[in-house]
Amino acid sequence: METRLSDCTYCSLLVGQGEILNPDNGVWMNERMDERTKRWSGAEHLGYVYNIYRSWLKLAGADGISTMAPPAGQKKVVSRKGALLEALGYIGRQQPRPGARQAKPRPCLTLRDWARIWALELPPLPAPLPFPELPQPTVSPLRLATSRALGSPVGLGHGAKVIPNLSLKTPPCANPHPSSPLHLPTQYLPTLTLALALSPSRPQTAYSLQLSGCQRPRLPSSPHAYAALMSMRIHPSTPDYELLPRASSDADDLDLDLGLHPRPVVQRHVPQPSWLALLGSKMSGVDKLVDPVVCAHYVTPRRRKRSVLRLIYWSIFSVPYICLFLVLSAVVLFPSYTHRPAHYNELRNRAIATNALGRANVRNEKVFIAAAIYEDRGALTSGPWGKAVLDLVDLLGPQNVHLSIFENDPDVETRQSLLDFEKKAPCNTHPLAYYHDFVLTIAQAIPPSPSRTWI
Amino acid sequence: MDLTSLPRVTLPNGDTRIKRIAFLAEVRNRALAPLDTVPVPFDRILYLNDVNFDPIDATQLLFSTNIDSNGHANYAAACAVDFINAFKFYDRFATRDLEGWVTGIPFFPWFTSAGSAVSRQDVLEGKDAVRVRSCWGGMTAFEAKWFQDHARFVQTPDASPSPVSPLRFRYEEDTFWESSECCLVHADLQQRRTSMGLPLDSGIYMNPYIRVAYDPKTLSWLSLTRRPERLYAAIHDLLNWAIGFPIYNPRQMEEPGQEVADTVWEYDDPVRAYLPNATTADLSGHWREVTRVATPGGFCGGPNLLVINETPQQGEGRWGKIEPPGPAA
Repeated sequence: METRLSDCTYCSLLVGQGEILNPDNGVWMNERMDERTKRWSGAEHLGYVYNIYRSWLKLAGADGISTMAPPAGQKKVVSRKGALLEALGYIGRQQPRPGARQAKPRPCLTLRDWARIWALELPPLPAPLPFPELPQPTVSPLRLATSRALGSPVGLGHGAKVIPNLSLKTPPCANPHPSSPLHLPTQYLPTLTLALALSPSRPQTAYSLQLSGCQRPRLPSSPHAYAALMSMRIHPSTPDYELLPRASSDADDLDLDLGLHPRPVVQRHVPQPSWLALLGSKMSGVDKLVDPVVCAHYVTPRRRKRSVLRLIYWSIFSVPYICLFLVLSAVVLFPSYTHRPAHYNELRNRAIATNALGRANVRNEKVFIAAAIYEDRGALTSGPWGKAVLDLVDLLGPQNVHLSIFENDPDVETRQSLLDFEKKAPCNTHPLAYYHDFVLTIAQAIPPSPSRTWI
Repeated sequence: MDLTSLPRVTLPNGDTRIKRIAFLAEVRNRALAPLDTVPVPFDRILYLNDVNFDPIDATQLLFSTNIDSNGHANYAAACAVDFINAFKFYDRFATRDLEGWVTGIPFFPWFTSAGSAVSRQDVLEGKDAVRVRSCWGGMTAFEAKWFQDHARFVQTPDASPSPVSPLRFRYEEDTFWESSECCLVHADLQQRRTSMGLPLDSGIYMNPYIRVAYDPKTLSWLSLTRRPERLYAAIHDLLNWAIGFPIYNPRQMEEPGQEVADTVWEYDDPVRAYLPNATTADLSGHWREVTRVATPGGFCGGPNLLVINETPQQGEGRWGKIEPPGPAA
């Protein structure tokens, strides 16, 4: 099934949000809706990408893709077409509401999507395919891949998702096509991306997935060398490919009959070399600008915007973690009002060391404790407040304390609670003075309000 | 308690009301009443609200706050800090920083950066005795001699009763000006202690080591939630600035005895102006200058009138608030 690369267009399956890398010129194509027809003008690219996928299907067998697990949060799509489109991120974008902003597209293929497709559709591989857990990347994988390989972020427009470093455990292979002018890229494939060998002139016959079976090779050492390499690879000798003929650009109308019927080949427009390209051939520095790879990297505003958004996103969402870090370090390392001066601790130690009355009142100071409270059904005097007050009297020494509680117009339960509290008060055992029923000025309609006072 | 025994203030239209603070001051004073009769000279007074507190904390507030070289706690008044939840300070009404500025938004470090910001600096330095003009914090320790005439315990022939009556809680008698009784008691205490309204050494301290809460669960959280609070200082400043704290108080810097001119709005027809369906025309009037002799505690107050709702209707609360007279907005 192997196709000679000299026949092939290098098809980099790089599909982004509404963008497809045009393999002819290395430029990201935006898909836009035609306002007049309400159709996607980029549908030919959809068809193009679909064709690439079709070859996958052919490889995998008729029903290979139908078992693909649905992406998280989406219901399972059983049809091949649905699965395919879903994987491509086209579902949900085909019929935007008129007048509304473009519906939120599914993100471009995640590594997981690729992994699923990969695992399901490849013919059996000679050795176990070690597929590590592919984390959801925070940096664009292509960038990651190229950065890993080259140590610099040169690539086919950042943000696209590809499978990085498929470590295929196959022996190093010899160059099968030494004469091929376009063979060179083959050995770099594993570290770069999925590459599909697609015969543009004979679309129905010679599909093959060209996976490099080589060990991870050495890569060009400089970004420029790499860019030049990529440039070579994405300039095919005959840059035409099959366009899927369709009556409508709506995805539902796509014929997914796995390419069993011959398709007419549509000649694609080949752009003339631009003035910049001509200039680039004369001046050394300019050719890098002309290089579609480099160009694609710099002329993709949507992608750059997204990286700004990502920066904002991370700045915002890292705030809680920074705060958490600060709070935890403050809690542990420099707590506020936690380590009391020594004489406070001495007093506390004295208070908890024994049960002696007045243990916290070394100088036997006379303390008048006053409280004017309002309570509902004795909640304070028979609750934790009452206990704390009695403990305090114990610490100060009942002989040193006069406790005076005034409560205006207590209810019946509160009255009882006050009487109980009075019985519990240790002050009764050392009364310097004892006031019972400290009667207050009372209107005739209101029953007497007791104020309990002890020393 | 008989409400009719409480003093009343008169509104411009002739109606009289009982000030809520007059009631609260009276209630607090009732609990202090035994001081006049008990034959014991007290050293300290500890005034408790209905707060949850640790008894050992209370003894530390009494005996450990601002100790001198002899280990004697040296203060005219020392307050705890009260919390309505694990982070939120409660008592803004009675708390003033050393210059008399009202506090900022109610979380640490509580005091604003207005003026010299001595109180805020003390808090940020972690002092146990933060110099303030007034505070309450749910639990306040006082030097007792201001509340009790100690002359009566001195057995000397020439002992005469103190010329000033013992310190008690009071309310602001000016109709459209309200101050917390718990702030005024500090203002009066400073006045008695130094004969000045705003002495540099107030003798009033807030002790942020001692914290109390209005429910046991909050109290149990306070020892943890205080730990990172020093991080809040910058945010506190920022929010105060954004909100406009501290709020301006025209009487903040007044010295007691000083004659002050207030500009007040006088309604042409006060009766109609206080009707519930008063129109803009009914609120017509003119500004008039009224002179007044400043009393201690100008820094405590604000321009409004808090009254007791003596005949609450269905759904009405026990308290009411009346704005001072003014032209139609």
